[in-house]
Amino acid sequence: MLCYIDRTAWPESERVQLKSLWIAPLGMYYSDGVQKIMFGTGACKVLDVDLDGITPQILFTPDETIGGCEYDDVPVLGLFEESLVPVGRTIQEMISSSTTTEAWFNILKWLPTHSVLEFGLVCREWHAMVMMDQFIQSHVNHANLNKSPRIMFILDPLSGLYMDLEKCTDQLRPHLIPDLVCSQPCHSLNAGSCWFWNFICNPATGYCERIEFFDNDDTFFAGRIGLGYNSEINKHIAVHITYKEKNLETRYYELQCKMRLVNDKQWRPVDPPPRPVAATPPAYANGKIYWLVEPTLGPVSPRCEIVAAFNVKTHEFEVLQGPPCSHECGRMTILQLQGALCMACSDRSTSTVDIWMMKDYGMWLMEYHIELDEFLPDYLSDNTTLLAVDPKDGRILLNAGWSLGYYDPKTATIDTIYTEEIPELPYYLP
Amino acid sequence: MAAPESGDGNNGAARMVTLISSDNTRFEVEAAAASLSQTLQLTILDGGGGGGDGIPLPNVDSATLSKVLEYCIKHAPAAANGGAPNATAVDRAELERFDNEFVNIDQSVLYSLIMAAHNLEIEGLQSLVAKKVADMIKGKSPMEIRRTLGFPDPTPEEQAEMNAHMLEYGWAYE
Repeated sequence: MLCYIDRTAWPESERVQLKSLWIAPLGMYYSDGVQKIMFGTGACKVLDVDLDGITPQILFTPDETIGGCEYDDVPVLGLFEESLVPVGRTIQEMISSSTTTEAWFNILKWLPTHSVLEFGLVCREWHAMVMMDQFIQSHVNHANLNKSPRIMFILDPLSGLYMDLEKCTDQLRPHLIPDLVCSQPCHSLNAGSCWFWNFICNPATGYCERIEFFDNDDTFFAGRIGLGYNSEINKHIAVHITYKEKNLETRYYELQCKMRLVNDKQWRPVDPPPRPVAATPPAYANGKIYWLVEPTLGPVSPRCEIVAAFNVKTHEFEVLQGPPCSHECGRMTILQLQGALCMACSDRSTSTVDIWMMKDYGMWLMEYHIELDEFLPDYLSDNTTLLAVDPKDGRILLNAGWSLGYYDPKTATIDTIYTEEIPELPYYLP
Repeated sequence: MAAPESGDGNNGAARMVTLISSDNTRFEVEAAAASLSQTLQLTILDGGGGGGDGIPLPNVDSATLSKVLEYCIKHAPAAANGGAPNATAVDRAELERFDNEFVNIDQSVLYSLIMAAHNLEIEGLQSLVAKKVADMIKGKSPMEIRRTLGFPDPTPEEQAEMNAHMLEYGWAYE
């Protein structure tokens, strides 16, 4: 027991003054170094006592003008704290507590992005809803669920002008841009490079940010910008790598590297990767951005192919062993398929493309073996890389520069969906 | 009013429960079918809804409830199997055909179904109806949506504020 207070031991005058049917402690506090207990009475009087409970000190007696303490037996006093905590409902709570709005939440999440954007202007509630992180996340998951890959041509990466493949006709064809690379989508954003500048975009909303540097070397380098996603803080991360120096004869090179959160404009320098990176667009999978290692620079690697991986949480690079294939046979590209890191290795002598997938513990397994002999010259093995696997039927979307087509691993046939005279084909998949 | 037929799997031993719509119509269904509703599942597990008692559903009218139960009865066997693993391609195709036909209904019925599926927490029905409504409103303008749903038009100030806000998010309009 903390203390025992005997009201009969109080002096007569206080006892009369503090007579009340209701008396209860309000709190404990220190005053002049002595611990005291504060009480309130039904007659709206406030007193405190020492822990010995003997001498009550009256702190507050309501003025005649306040009046109002009609009922002596009810708790009428309380404490308060300084605070800005709101009691009214926030817009999020209004949305999740209204069954009607919640039902609309469940409907709008199935719609394509451009419809959601339009419907964000229907009313204030819908407007607030489509801007909620919770909705944006749910929409990404549902609107892309079991959907075939979507393809858009980048008509102008500078201003963010795109053209949906579905809208292409014989009369209306995109004019393709050479020296343009674009990443696979990383949590709905794509990054890419064009000539000496880079961009980050969301083609579904038409958002595009151009990224330029004063220290650029005026050359086109496809491995320049990598995009990742930190799921702990729900933010995209961009990593920029350039060569300060490179000498193919001496194999000497010097890299510089910086990173930033995509929604933050400030770049921060980070330690460059321990290997030279190749001029191939990097890929993001499971918390890491992967670059291929440039075989013509730095120390000669005894093993086949190595990957430099940037961890989006620790901001550090590491080096991993690649699959057992070699640059000498043909072109290699790095990509993400079904959430896993993959490498596509072409062999120009046999006109084949092998796709290796990194499994647990860094083990590489050959996932697909594509023979392109029959499909020459449209699908040259050196020009052919994979874009995505259609989750509906398991067909593989191939980009051969000239042509885009679906390869069916079951029947070993290709269904070409687009062909073009110009070799370079920029692409994007939302 | 007659209760809907309880699917083919009724061998007489299946436990039945009674559901009472807002307009006091009683529906007798297999517990397995009614349990597709997360809301009802707990009551049924506790032994509720049997005998003369019945579970009142004050938010669902009889027309909507009979439609909801039609869905539950059709989907109950597949749900009991834990969904896909045992289902043959034929069964799945049949369910798909049923689903497509099921939502091919009047708009007003569809809207009551959304709310019922939501209140009763029937996951499959919720997404089925939500996708259908999403398809129906896909091409509409914000103005058309407001007319259909009876929402008031925003004031020009509100409209301007919403536009500006969207742009701030990097959401551009054509």
